[in-house]
Amino acid sequence: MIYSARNLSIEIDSTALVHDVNFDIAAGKILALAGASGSGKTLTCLSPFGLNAGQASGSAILLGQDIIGLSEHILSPIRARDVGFIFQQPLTALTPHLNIAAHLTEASMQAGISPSHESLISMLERVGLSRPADKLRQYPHQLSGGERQRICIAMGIAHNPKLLVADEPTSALDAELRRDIMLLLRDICREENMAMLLVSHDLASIESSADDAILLQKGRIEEVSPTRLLVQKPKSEYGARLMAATPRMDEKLSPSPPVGDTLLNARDICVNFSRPFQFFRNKSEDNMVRAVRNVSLTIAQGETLAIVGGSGSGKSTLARAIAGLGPMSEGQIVWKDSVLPAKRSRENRALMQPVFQDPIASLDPKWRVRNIILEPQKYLLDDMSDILSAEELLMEVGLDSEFLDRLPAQLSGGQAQRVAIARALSVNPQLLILDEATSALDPLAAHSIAQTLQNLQEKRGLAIMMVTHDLALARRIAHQIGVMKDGQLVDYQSKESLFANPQHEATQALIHNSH
Amino acid sequence: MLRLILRRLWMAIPTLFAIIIISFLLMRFAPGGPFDGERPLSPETKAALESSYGLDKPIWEQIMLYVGRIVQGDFGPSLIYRDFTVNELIAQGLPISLLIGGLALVLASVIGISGGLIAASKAGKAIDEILMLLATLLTALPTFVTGPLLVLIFAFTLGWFPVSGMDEGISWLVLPVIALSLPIAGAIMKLVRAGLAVQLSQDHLRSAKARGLSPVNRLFRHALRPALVPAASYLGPAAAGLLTGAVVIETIFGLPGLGRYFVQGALNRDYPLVLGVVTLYAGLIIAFNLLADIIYGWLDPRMRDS
Amino acid sequence: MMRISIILVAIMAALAVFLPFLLPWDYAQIDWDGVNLDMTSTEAWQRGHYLGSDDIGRDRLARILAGTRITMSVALAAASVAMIIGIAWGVIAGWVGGRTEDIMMRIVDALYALPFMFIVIVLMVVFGRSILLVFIGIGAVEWLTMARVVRGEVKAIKSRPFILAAKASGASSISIILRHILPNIMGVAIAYLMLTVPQVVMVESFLSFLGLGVQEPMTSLGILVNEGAAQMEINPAALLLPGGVLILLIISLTIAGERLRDRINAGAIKNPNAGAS
Repeated sequence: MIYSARNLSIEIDSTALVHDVNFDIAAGKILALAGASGSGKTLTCLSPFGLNAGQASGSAILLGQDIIGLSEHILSPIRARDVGFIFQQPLTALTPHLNIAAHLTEASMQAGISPSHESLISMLERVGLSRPADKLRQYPHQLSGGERQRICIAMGIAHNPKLLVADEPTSALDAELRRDIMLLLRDICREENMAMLLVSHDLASIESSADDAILLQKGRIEEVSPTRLLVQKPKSEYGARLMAATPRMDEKLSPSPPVGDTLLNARDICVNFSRPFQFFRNKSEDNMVRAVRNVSLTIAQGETLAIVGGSGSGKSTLARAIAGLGPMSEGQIVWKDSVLPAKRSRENRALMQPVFQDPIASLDPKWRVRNIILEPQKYLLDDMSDILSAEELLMEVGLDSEFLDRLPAQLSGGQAQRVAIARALSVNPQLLILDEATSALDPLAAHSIAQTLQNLQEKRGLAIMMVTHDLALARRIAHQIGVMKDGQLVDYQSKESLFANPQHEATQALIHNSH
Repeated sequence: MLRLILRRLWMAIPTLFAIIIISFLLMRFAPGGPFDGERPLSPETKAALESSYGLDKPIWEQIMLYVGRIVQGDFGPSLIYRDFTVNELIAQGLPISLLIGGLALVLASVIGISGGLIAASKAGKAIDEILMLLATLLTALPTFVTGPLLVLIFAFTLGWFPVSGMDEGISWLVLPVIALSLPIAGAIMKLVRAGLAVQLSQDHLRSAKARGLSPVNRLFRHALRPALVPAASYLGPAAAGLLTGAVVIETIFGLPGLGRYFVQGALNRDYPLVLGVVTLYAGLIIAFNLLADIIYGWLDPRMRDS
Repeated sequence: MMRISIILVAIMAALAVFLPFLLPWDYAQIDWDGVNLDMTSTEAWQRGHYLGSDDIGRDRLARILAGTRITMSVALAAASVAMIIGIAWGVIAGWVGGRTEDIMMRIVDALYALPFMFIVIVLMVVFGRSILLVFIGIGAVEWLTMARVVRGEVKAIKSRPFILAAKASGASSISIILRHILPNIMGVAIAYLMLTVPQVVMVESFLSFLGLGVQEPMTSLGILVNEGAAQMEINPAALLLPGGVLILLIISLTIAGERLRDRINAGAIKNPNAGAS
């Protein structure tokens, strides 16, 4: 065994956060620590090495030596010699004023080797970077996120460590890169016979790379299984609930409930942004960012339309233009039979209401839940006879009236998102526009919110337009799916036909990179 | 980077002109002129004097004339120091002010950076608290109180340094330079400490720690340079602070620098002198801001590309 | 530390306002028979000059209290002017954005580059030395930092989704600013107000020290320090007393302001709302 934990417990400021964790990693194997945020997986991974505020007890045996309780000046050379680290944020993990050559040289010096120019170049080639000689002279900010993470990997293995510790190495990267980086890490481990401890919140994404996985919840081990088994046939109750809540591409397509008449018809929507004002301005097309290009779509009563795309595809900009919350350069939005004006009237606004990604930030921190929920009623409704009270609205989203006098800081993410939905419902809208409304939540909370939304849709005949990066989620709950790339809606059909017959290569790539 | 500097220079020109024109108009419309002294002059003498200084022409013509001469580097004759041109007074005063200001800036940087480094490397410990309290104290001490206090203690009581004026040697420089540098030193110390605190909590420092680098190596090689960016952006305000401080310091220590001419000029409505000094000051502050931009680029390569 | 400094400022303010009523001498009153009395002499105490008298027989304690009063009220008034201009400027620039914001912030940048102390001096010289002008002049240049800070805060808050939600709720720009933006920037604005006050105290006493600020028979701590510096050789107390009060005032105000700002910033870090996109 390269690295083993025995009764490893971790506390911060005398609060115990990880309890009696045991595991072993052999050479050439990858062990994943998985769990929701707050499950203690990063603490378990980094605290024994003295890299965060956690105080570890129990034992963590690296190459036969227990590293718990070692003082920093003994631990530091052990880290330098035997362990390589890769962190979540490649954007900030590199020192901004040192170039790539300086970084790699420093990493090699850990093993006491002063590398030649040739060996620096071969290090970059090893992690799949093109034009290595140029890269050596560049500074971190001149490289893309994926390139930087490859540099971090090169640094992590520069001194041939026995153990590689990777803390969410792909979660800050775009979907297309995640798979490549994970495969690179897996290949390196196997070829160099390194053991690897991997932290991930997304079990599905490491299914094919990690050999074994530990599922943590609230600092305790719920399940230890081979990764594939944990994902597909979890033994533990928590694992089963978690995996059931996580949408997967290979689950059975459920039939979509019937839909009503068309409510909204968007025609040839374009959104252009001019680049920021510049002193030496040249009047050319370059000054225009075409964020959304000629997008047309329709949404019917009781229907869910999912707009799926990577970051920068223009999906959120499109949602804001339709909601009347962002600029729209060209095009028309027709509601039933009338064209909605560029400046929305109060009646127009009451038709559709948004829900945003970051639940806590969507609520004014100085306001109480009661006032937050009733804000749209105050401005948008004249006829107050047929409306729901704050209590009734809370009940409809599954919260009780004790929340009415709370401040947003006193809510969990899931509760805050329910309050935001109650606010949106307070004016009886016919369309909800959800911008990544569940992606900041852990899988169980996200699943339960998605179920609430589906119930509301059934009960009220709500139309829902949801913007998401998660194709599996769209597959689970949408009627129609639109795929956006570079501002264009490249594929747009019912989910059944989309998965049976993806029209565009962007859709095929999305399906390929999802799990 | 070069483009950034050129742009800054380009933007500085209207600022400079605005300063010149605003101060000119203000001075010109001030009630009372330089010849409304204690002994009233006869109207004829006054008119003759004003005409010889060009004060009887229409205001825009005066502005054009003045700006035209400034562009050629001529600030005109002084009204109160009748035998001197403003250029001569500046030539006389500027080296003294630059000497004191430059030395004060160097001293302040040395005290500030080393204090900030010590405080940040002992973060949370008693020495950190003490140094930060000291920094607050230094920034809160007005020069016009510390100046006389230093004179009282080190000149009058201990007799180590001269009370005022310029002597042979360098001992006359010690007290003015110290008095001038203290508030700037305090400000730099705070900025360096805060900049290091930010850097030390960054991911790249954790990566460096993970690679087994020593604390000293991490502090100097990985944290210090980007941590100095806030302190570098303080260079412009520091220059303004030095110039303002120099006014007081030169008055207290009786040194014939620019600041003293400025005060004398302001109190006696000597337009050319005040305008000349203000223009020069504005130019100096702009130059320091430019210098700050260049230093940024060196400290943090990201700035070079923005 | 913060509490101690706030209490100190409060004590100084209370003394400056109320103690003069209990003193036998007014700050401008001349005691022809008690010129240049040392505070330790029995004669000074018999005549009611508890901190001695100056070279034309005015009571030192009464003058220091009067100077403190003037200095503090000028500072408060000027800092309030600065706060109002700064908040208005920063809110408009940050809220409107685009070209307007660009131009407004360029103006602030340009004014930052001015040797503003000298502009204030020029203003004083031009319009005569009135106390009103002292604080308008100071307030008008001290607003720059406030405007920058407020604009940054407004931009940060504006990008948070609860503002978009308020828009979707049909709230007008005015009600969004009044109900959502201002309540959320008030904490920071007050912290910077507290940091502006000592700045203004410093500028006011600097001007007065040069003879450009408050004029006789009124007095301020700057004037007293100037007078004291002229006679420190024979009477160090003349410098040390007003200088000490001034330093104590500035330091207490600075520490209170800094701690308040740090507390608010720390709160912002702990609060999960801050900085969320």
